[in-house]
Amino acid sequence: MLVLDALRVRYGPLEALHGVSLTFAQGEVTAVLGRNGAGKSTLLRAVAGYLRASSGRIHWQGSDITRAPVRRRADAGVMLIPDEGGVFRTLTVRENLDLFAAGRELTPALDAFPDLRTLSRRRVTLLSGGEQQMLALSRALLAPWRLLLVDELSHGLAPVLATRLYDVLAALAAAHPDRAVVLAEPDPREALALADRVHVLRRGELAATGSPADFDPATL
Amino acid sequence: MFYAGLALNGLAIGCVAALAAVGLLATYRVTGVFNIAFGSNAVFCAYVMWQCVRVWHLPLAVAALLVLGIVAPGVGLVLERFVYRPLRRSGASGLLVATLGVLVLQLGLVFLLWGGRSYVDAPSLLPAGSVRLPGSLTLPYATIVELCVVALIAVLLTFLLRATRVGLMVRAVVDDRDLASALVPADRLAAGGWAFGSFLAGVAGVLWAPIYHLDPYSLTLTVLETMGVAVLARLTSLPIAVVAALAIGIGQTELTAVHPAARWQGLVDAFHTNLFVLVLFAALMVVPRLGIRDSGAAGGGLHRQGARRTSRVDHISRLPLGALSLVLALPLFFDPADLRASLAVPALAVVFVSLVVATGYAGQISLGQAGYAGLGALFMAKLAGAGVPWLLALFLGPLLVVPLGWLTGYPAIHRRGLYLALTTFATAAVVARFVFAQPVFVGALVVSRPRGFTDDHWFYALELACLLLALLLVRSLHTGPMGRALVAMRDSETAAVSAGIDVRRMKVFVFACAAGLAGLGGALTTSAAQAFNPTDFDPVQGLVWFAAVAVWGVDSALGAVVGAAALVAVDVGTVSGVSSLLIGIGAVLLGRFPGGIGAAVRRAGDWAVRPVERPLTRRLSPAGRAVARAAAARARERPVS
Amino acid sequence: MSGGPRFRGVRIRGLRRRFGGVTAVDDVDLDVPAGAVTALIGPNGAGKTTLFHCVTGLDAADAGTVTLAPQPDRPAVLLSGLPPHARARAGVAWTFQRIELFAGLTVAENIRVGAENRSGRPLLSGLLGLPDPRRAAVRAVTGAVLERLGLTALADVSAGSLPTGTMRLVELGRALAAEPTALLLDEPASGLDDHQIVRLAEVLRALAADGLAILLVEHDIRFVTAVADRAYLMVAGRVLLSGTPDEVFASDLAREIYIGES
Repeated sequence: MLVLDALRVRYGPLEALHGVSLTFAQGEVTAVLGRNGAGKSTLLRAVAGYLRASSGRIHWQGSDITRAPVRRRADAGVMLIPDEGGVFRTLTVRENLDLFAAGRELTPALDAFPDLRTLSRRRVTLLSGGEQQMLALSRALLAPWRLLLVDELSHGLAPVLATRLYDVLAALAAAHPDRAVVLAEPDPREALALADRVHVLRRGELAATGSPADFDPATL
Repeated sequence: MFYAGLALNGLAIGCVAALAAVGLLATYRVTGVFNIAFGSNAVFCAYVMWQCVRVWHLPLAVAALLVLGIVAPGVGLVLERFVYRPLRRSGASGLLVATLGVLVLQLGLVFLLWGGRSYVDAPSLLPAGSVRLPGSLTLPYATIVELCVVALIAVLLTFLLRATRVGLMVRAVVDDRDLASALVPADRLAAGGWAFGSFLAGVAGVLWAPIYHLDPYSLTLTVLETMGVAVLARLTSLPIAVVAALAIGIGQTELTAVHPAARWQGLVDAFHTNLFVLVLFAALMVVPRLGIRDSGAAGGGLHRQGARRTSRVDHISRLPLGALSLVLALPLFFDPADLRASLAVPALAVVFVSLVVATGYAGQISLGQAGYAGLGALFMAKLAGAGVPWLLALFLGPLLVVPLGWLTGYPAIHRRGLYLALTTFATAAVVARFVFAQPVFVGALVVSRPRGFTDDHWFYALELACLLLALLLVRSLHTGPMGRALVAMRDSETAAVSAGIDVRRMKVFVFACAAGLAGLGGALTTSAAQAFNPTDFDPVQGLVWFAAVAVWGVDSALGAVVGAAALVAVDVGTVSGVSSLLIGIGAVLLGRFPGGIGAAVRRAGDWAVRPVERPLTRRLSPAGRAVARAAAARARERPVS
Repeated sequence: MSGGPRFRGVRIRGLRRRFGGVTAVDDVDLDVPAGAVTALIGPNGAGKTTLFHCVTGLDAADAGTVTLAPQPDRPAVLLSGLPPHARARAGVAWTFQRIELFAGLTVAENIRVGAENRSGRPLLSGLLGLPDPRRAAVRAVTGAVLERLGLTALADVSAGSLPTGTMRLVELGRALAAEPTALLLDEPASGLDDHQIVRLAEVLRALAADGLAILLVEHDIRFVTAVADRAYLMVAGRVLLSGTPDEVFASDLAREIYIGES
């Protein structure tokens, strides 16, 4: 499980996370809610290793990974699907899948998203936003992970597509009850339906923690 | 007419160009960076090779192994680790300035270590002699070997990138290093890419040096000119690059057989000796888009962050302005030799200010200011020769450059980043080769100062007046509605358009202004020296100028003036190479200090005059504070569930 | 910003845009009347943003016309063929799906740029530093827009350091500062919290009441229902349905293709 201890992250002179302490338990789906700029993406990127913590510690399955590079964390099972840039834009769909799978079978992704089968040879730049998001999510279907961090899965998507991606994610989480999933979302509705536990960030600080039943989507 | 013998000679030239172009493209494909410093890298390796063989008397094979096996890849590894890796998240412009910095730095190093001397005895790795072909034609072995090397690189690289897993991983790293770093050993792959690219530069340098003279400027420029071939290939197709390079080489030698009427001969000669420059220029005009991701604001990575004080009075800038005026007046009390040296300062400062206008204010990277400066000098001299009073010619000459700036500004409308940089550079190169290098244009020029200004004191005072005029003129480009519109255009062109700003007209206008200013600077330079010296306006010189202005803060006119003074002072006070080395180091480090020295000084100034009551516990931006207040108020209204 | 004859709607006729083999916008007729909010909804890739760009001039339509509707005393203004900045000066203002602010300017300066470039001033007079005759008017409009959007307290804050929701408001302010007749908004509610969405809805309703013609592309069903007078459902480049937002969202087609309930 993942333990954040007084994590601080800054961009130049501006601090985006002011000492956040959190625990993401194995076997739980956690939703991190909060508006844009609350520090959700920063939190996820710091856990995945793309941002350096200015102070505080990150422990993952008992070992301290605060200073570990992206690659080491990825090998330890941490996977981030960012809201933008989760795919290689100049490569084809097939090449993206090959890189994600690293020699493993492609069928799990192609079965979940049959559209990708027909788009196999197309360059990612020519895909629609929804198709790109499907491709990005495929990574979680192709490679093993212990901790999946998903940043704004439904960003800019029509409701029908967002629902579909959430269904895939829910099935994935259900199939692996021993792993941890963290969703960052500005819009609480979908995330609340899926999550076992909810954290609310406000201005870079932890504002509230609870179970989904404690929160009313309309007032968040 | 087509001459087979000439064609074979042309093949040799084409091979050399193909080697450069393939090297450039290969580096681009495996690193994602269009390496403008490819040429200087080649030159550096060639000089090391010369040192090994001619000074240390190492056997040729050992030297080759040392240079190509250790030095060249090593340079690539060092550059990747300390220059390009820290810049991996900065945009195309940041990388462009870094590569420029590396170029200037390597040139400075060559000047410092070898005094910038040319050598004709560069050791050759290629076999002498040639194959006899039917029809009493001969084909040198060297050409055959070069052709094989080019073909080998092209085929091997294409296969590697297209058909292997490592190739796919390399492409992934070039596409998105952040994402790739979670999937593949991205840092090692990038380092490998740079080592390979640098190795190719080494190969090119070592193979060229014996063919051309070993000379820092001309060899670097030769490589830069072969960029036209890379542009024709849209930075993607290796086969097109090879074919184009060979075709141009052959075309070049075939043109030597064209003998038109005597008065056109000069023009034809200019064509065939400079066909690569022409191709570079034409290719940039014709090829609509390069296969590169050239995103972001045009000057991104060059400008400092945060709001600029366009509408408010800038109290801090008064202080350096006053101090600067005093310092600039000092040379009037220098002894004659030092005053003579100081004459270069205001002239160069005006050119630098023109760069600030084009690149700092309008966000248009311009590597071609040397061309406009030279034209300003030339027009002034021509007018003075035609009987126009000298003082009038001094201003009329640069004014004539304005329409040319207007004209050449048009290509700038739709180009940005690297593409714009190459276009402006090509313009300067064309002007240098077809005007400044042609006796028809630069013969019999009147550049001596008239009565009243032969005394350096008076002339220096006149220069200062011109500099002041230039600074006053650019002030309105920095403040008020115009200044705001330019910042808007720089930050987001699409948004500027939506606000009703005619971005195209604005760009061309600013380009023309900058060209006129550069012309004035050039006219002053030439008048100060009382001689039109083409090397003053060498295109490579323009690159050094650009890097210098970037280091001092590309949007700081005062920084540009200080930078000009510093450059002249270092050049006069030390051996050649030191100034380039310093500028190069500064430009390479620019990614870590956005905004350059000017911004650093301003930040220090802001800090010194900061309000005392500012809470220092948690340093927030003004926005952060306002938002924090609002959030606190809201939190009081609605308690968290 | 008083109502009156200066507000005119946008009329789109037979608009068509192709990219390679794909027809992104296929023979669309659409009226954006003055004094009302018109919403354009549809799944991703339906061509909404392309249609948008064809109206602003950021993209060129292959066929069809975009005009500012005629009025009793004034003829129609043909926008098709004009470059985007000219359309902006003619009275069309717009915001972007991905926020495009001038990060190097303050909030007030961002809005001011919108106000002071609506008429083309000779560049040379700007270079020579001649005073701007519209200076007073520009100041007044800037102040009024800041006030209206509740941004006065943030006037001197650098626009690049704002949270997303506030950035959207500044973008809207810059559009309003040009005193447009028609306002086009591409996903204005994206990235806004519920409070800000309510605020935005109020502002848009008030602007429509003033007489502005407003067209918005939006995914947020509640927001569209709250703010729009009329909604158009766009699918695969064609406008298939129109009506009040409630009617459109209740239709079988919208439920199947857009909302995803069957």
